[in-house]
Amino acid sequence: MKLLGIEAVLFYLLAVAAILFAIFMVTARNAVHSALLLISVLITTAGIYLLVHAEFIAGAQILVYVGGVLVLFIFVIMLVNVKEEDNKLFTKQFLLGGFTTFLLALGMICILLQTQKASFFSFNSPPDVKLEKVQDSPNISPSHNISQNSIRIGQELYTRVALPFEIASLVLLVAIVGAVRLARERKQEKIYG
Amino acid sequence: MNLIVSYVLPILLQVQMTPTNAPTSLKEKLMEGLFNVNINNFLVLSALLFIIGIAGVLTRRNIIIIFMSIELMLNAVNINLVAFSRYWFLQTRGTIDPYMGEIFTIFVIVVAAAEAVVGLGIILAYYRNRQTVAVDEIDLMKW
Repeated sequence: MKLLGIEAVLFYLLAVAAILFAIFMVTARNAVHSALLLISVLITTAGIYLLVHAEFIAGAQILVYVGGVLVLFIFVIMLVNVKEEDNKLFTKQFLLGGFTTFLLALGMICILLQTQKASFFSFNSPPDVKLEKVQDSPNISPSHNISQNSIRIGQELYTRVALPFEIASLVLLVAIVGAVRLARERKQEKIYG
Repeated sequence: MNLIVSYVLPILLQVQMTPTNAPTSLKEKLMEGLFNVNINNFLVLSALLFIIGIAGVLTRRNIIIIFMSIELMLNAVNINLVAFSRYWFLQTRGTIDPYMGEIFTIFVIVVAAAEAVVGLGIILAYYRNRQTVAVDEIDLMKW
């Protein structure tokens, strides 16, 4: 997998923007600013998904995260009514947490160094994999101008991974019921038992 | 400084270390690595976002920002999954399970949404009882 030319430049722009937004998000003083910066990180990540031709994931990312989860976060910030924190952004364990993060970063850099040295990540395909042309499904008209990504993911979701798909919908149902149970007020509990 | 130039910069910019037609000077190495984005760049981006999220979880005081950092970490994992899905698609030319990584990413997004909903419900219930969202004041079970 190689991105060349304008795609590489776009990748670097999006990656640097995502990392900067993430740093600003973690260190922001106001919680609403933090939520807006997280929205920026998610949108730049959707751009990176577009670069690797994952159009469906990019759309789902913007719809679900930005349209659903982050709006929920902003509503909760509004309900909880957090003022700007009084000069105490971080906990007392700031140095311990920073040291732990540093150790984790060191470990990840060591692992990335090993992957850099290994020739596992070369573009050449492994010899034991049969390289055949992917067969188009007979139901799909071969329109090569349009990316097949969303079509294929939809087919897989309703055929091979249909059972995990239904289990995911069950997880969402349980989460909805649990959230309503957790967040209702005393007054409502008296009324509805 | 010498350590940074010789070890850290080649990792971050993913300079090719292969001996075949290796560029001689460091500047040529950096330029070649800069405009040759392969999967290692995606791994580095994902690792950096994950580390930033870890730092947010371990050090922030506002519990809502801690939740947002968790979302950031899940997002970093999703970058890995999507990049490896594309890598596998190109390696096998779409013959063996080319879209499983992206489908798993969809499930990660679903679970992240469910987790955010339940967590924010817990935050609202706690705020109603104690009027605070600072994690070092949530010490009711500390003895």
